[in-house]
Amino acid sequence: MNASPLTLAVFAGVIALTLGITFWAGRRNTGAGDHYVAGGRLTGSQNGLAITGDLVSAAAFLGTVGLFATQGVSSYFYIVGPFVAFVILLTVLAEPLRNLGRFTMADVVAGRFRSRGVRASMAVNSLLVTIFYMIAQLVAAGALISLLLGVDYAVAVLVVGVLMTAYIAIGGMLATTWIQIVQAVMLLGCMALLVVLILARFGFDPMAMFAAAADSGAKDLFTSPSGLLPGLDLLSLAIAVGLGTAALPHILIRFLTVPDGREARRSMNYALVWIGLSFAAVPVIGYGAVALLGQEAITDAAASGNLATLQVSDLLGGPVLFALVAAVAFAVILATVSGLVIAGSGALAHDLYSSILRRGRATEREQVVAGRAASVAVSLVAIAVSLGAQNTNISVLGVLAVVVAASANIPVLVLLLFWKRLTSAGVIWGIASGVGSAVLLILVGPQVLGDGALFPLTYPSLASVPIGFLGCWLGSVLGGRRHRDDQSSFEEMQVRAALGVTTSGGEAPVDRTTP
Amino acid sequence: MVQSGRSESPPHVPDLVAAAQAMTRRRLRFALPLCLVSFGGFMLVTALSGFSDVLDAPVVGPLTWLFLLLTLGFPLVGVCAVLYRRRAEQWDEERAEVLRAVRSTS
Repeated sequence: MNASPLTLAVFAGVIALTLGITFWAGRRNTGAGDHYVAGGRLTGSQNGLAITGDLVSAAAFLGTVGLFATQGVSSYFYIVGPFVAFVILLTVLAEPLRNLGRFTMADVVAGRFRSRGVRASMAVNSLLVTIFYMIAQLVAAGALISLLLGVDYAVAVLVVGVLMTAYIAIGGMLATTWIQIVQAVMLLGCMALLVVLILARFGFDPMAMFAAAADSGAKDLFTSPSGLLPGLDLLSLAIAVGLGTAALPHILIRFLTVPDGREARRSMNYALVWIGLSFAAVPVIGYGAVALLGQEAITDAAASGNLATLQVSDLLGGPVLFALVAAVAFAVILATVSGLVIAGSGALAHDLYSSILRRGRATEREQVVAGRAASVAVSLVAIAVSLGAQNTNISVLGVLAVVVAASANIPVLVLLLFWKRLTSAGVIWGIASGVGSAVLLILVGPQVLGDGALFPLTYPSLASVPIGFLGCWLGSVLGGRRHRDDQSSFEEMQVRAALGVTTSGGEAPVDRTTP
Repeated sequence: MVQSGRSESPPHVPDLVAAAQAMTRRRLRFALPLCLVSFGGFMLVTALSGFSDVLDAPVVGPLTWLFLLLTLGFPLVGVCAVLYRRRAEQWDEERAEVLRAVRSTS
C-alpha cells in the first residue's frame, strides 16, 4: 500500500504537533519531579484523559475492532475485562497509590519496606513488563506503518523509536501527558465519527446493523466456544486482561502525577467515562465493518482483521477519512509507547540508579540527566529487539506483559496495603514467583510450543496469579527475621495510604529505602 | 473519632493510626461489594460462557445473552463509580476533620 500525499501530510502534521508539545514541555522539564511525574500538578480531568490515551492503544482501536470482525463476541472480553477491573483500581488502589508513591511503583512499595532488595525487585519487574509491552507495541507499529505508508519495516520502527525517545528525553512526563491528552481527544472524536457514519448507513438502528452483520455470511459472531479447556482458557484470559491491564506500571504511575488522593480518584472517574465511551464504540465499528464490507474482504486484507477500521473508514469517508483514521492510529501508537518509555526509564534511573546505586544521594540535576539517559537506554533496547523481531508472534510479548503484571504486581500491591504480616522477603518472593511462573508457563504453553505445549493455557494467569500470592505468603512466613519490616512500618503505611500524611503529621509520600 | 494517645509515643501518632485504620475498614466495607458485583460478575459471565452454552441463546435479534451481559458491564461500572464518588466525598470531609483535630493538638 502506498500512502497518498494527503495521508503523508496528516502523518507529518501529527509528528509536528507532538514535537511542538515536546519542546514546549521541555522548557518546563527542569527537576526530577517534573521529569517523572509532571511535578504532580496535573488535574483529575487532564490525568483522566491521559489515562485514556495510555490505555486505549492501537490494540483496541485496530486490533480489537479486527477481532470483533473476525471472531465476534469472544473479543468482548478483551475490553470489558480491563474496564470492570478499573472498579478495583478506583475503589481500592488509586488513592493509596497516590499517597504512598513518589515517582515509580517501587516508591509505593518502599513506602512500607526499607529493603533495597524490595526496591530492586519491583524496579526490575516494572522494567521487564514495560520492555515486553514496548517491544510488542513497536513491532505492531512497524508492521502497521510500513503497510500504511509503504515504507520499510525497519524505517517505521526507527521513526517511532526516535520520536518516543525524543518525547521523553526532552519533555518527560509533561510531554507524555499532553501527547496522550491530544491523542485521546483525537481518538474519541474519530471513534464517534465512525460510529455515527456506520449507524447512518442503517438508519441509526443498531439492531439493523447487528442483523446485517449476522446475515453477512460470516461465521457465528454472537456466541463463544465452550468446554473444559476453552472455559479455563477464557477464565485465564479474563484474569490476565482484567487484572493485568490494571496493574501495568505505565498505567499505575499516572496516579503519581496528581497532587493528592482526591485528584487520583477524580482521574479515574474521568478515565472511566472516556474509556467507557471508546470501548463501547469498538463492537459497533467491528460489527459495522462486517455488515458493510463482509468478513471475507476484511480477512483478505489482513488475516488478523487489523485493517478493518481503516477499510471501513475508506468505505465511509474516502481518502480523507482514511488519512484521518490512519493518523489517529499513528498518534495512538506514539502516545502509548511514550507512556511506556517514561515508566521504564523511571524504574531504571530513579530506582536502580538514584535510589540503589547512588543510595539516594544523586542531586536534582543528576536525577534529571539519569532520567533522560535511561529513556534513551530503554528505548534503544526496545528498538534493537523490535528490529529483529519483525516475524515474531507479538502476541507472546503482549501476553507476557499483562500476565507478569497481574501475577507479580497485584499480589504485592494488595498484600502491601492490607496484610500486616507481609515482609520484605514476602515481597521479593512474590515478585520472583509471579514473574517466574508467568514467564515459564508462557514458554511451555501454546503461544510458544503450539500443539506440543506442556501447559494448556494461552494466558497462564489462572495459575501464575495464585502462585504470586503464594510466593508472598511463603516468603513472609519462611523468609527469615522480619527486621525493620515491623508492625510500626505497616501502621505508618496505613496512615499515609488512608490520610495522605506521615505519622509525624508531614505530607506524604516519603521515601523509606535504606540509604 | 480521634482517640487518646499512649504516653510513650508522640501524642498524635496513635490517633492518626486509629483514624487511618478505621477509615481503611470503612473504605473496604464499601469497596468490596462494588468489586464483587463488577469484577466478580464479569468472572461469572466468563465462567458461564466458557464452560456452558447457556448464554448463547439469542435474546434480541441476533444478540445473545453473552453479548448483552457483557454490554451491561459498561453501565454497571458507571453506577459503581458514581456510588463510590459520593461516598468518597464524605471520607474527604472525615479525613480533613481528623487532620484538623490532630494538628490542633500537636
